[in-house]
Amino acid sequence: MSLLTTLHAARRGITVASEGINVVGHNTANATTDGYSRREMTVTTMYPLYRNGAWLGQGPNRASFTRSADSFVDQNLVSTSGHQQYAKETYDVLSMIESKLSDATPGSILETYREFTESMRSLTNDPEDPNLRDLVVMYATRFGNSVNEVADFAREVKSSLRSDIETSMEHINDKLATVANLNMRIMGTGGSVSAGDLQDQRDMVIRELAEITGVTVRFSPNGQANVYMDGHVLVQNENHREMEYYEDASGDPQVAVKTDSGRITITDAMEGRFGGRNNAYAQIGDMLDSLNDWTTQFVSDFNTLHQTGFDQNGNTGLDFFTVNTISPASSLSVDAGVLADSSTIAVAGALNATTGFPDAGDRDVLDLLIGLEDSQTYGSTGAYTARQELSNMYASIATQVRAAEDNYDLQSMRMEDIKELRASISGVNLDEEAVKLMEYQASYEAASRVISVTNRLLAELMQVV
Amino acid sequence: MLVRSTLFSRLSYMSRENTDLSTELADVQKQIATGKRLVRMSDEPWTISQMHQLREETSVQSVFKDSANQATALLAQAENGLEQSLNVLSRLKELAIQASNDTYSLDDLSSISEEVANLKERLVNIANTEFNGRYVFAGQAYDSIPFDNTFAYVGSTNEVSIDVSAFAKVEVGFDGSDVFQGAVDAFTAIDNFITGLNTDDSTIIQTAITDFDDAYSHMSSYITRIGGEVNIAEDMFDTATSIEMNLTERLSAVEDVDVAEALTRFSMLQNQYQINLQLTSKTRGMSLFERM
Repeated sequence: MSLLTTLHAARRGITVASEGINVVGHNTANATTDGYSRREMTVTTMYPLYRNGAWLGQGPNRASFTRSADSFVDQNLVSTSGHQQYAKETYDVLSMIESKLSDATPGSILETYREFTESMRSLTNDPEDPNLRDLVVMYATRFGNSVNEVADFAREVKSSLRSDIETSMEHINDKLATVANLNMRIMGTGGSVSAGDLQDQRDMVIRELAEITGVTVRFSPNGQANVYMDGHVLVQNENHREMEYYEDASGDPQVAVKTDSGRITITDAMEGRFGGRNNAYAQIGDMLDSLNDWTTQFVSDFNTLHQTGFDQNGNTGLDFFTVNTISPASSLSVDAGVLADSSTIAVAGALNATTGFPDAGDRDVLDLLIGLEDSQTYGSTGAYTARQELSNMYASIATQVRAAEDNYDLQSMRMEDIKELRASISGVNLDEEAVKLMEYQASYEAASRVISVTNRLLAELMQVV
Repeated sequence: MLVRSTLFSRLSYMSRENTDLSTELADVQKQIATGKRLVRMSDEPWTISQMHQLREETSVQSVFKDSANQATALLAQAENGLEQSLNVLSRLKELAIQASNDTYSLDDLSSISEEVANLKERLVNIANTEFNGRYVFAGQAYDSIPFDNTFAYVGSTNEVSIDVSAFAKVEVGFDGSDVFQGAVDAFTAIDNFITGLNTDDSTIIQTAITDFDDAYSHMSSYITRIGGEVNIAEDMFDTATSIEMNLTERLSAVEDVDVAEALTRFSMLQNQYQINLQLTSKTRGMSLFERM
């Protein structure tokens, strides 16, 4: 038995207690840090010393710092955050289109279409009235503008989505390299506090990657994280593969994993913000296609009839609308001739043989033009009127928005559940830490008291000498 | 069961609840402010087509209402004109009967002839009746005068109609050549009468009497027809009005908010929101560290 052994044991007690206080400090300071995993210190007793036929205790020994984490929960958190961002982005982008189309927005396509057809009906009361004719031209122009506006907006959204994906590639590849690099450093640090910090840091990067692209992760027991995209490896230990952007033959954006032998396209498997954007891109593309088809059919039907009519100057074969075939919806406008002079609206069915001009009340062609409203030839099955097909387009976007919104709510709820579960495993409970702090403080005080008592005993011994 | 609740998760839960509540509050506020139940189309995508249909029909009915009004006004003008024409024809017949009486001298006959010439002038003025820039008896060529100064018809023989419902049309502009020159050419009959008067030819004057009778009954048939058209126009105006009201009610049922309910909901949400805010600020102090 030796006083020095006691002194050493007490010294160890102080060290361990201050390390414990350090851990509590680290935990409480990070109590609200997103992605932080609580550290726990495991303390064991030192191997006892055998002396003079007795086992002497050598005090405590800090066995390890552990990072409280459940890899299954963390993996789930990553994939769910990918789903959540996917839904959110889809919702955000599509709801922009929705509000553009919405009836609440003045001058929406449907409202202006209705006004246009209403103005044509009013014209039947007095087909030669220049004011009524000017109104028809005005409403047709407004209608054309609102179609253009929606088409342009959709195209703008599409192209900005494309360029966003393209310019973010470098950022994503940096993140992938960071994950690989952190994997390597974690491997090198063993079980220190800093290893846990590096893991937290790496997991946050992985979560960010998941939010952007919807990658998934698998944690191996040795603390390494492997990152996958649609089952293809992106990061394995300290190695990583890059992602790349390209445009396919039809000019649509594609994302691929670069491999030694070429590339694997994963565009449609993406989740996260990019997946959401890609989804919205496709939906908007579909809407734009329908709008273009609608415009083409509408203009062709309308012009074909209008060409059979006679204007007030006795001319026939005139167009009312013009479009170009490449982007009909963006280019829909009232024919320049009609725009300049509303008397060139050709609503009469025949010329008066005597005057060479149509009679003022002749509205045979106007009736046919109005009749177009009821012709059910729109849509892929040709079962809808022009107005119904527009409503279908509206409803389809609104349904997508609604689905995305519901999905977002669902994913957010799941995300909250997982976050709560993760917090319960890896989070910091301040009361628990406060109790630990009291324990370590008490243990520190006690150990220092032991040192001071032992010290006094040693001093008394010294005086004897 | 969760083994550990943390300040972080409690606070983030509260903040999520508060965000949800404030979005909901904003939506209800918008509902109350706009009076519309549906803030966004995606609130109820399944009602979109129905609402568009209702709006389309409402807009069509409003045009029919205007049309029916205009038709009634034009028809009133035509009826008025025809009644005056009938007066003119009665007077002409009266004069013809007087003239056929042998006791009249040539002087008397010539003064009658002067009145007849005036009546002819009146009749052609009536035939050229204009309302709101439209010649009622010019057929579809209603933008120009139907009878020129030689009393020849230069209008159109096609009648003008106005749509007053999806299926009903009302004739509002008539073929003047049929009205005034149909059964018998009233103007030629008057000319003949004048010749008869000037030459004191009783046969011609006798013929004029029958001619005026025929013209009279022909025009009367037009008045009857116009009466029918007016009835249609008025009926259709009433129909369009009631359909429009009905549609507006249906549209309102789909898209308008029940304000009382919305207001109750608003104050409930507001209460909840305030409670949550208090709870959030209290959560902050709930830690053992506060007691150390």
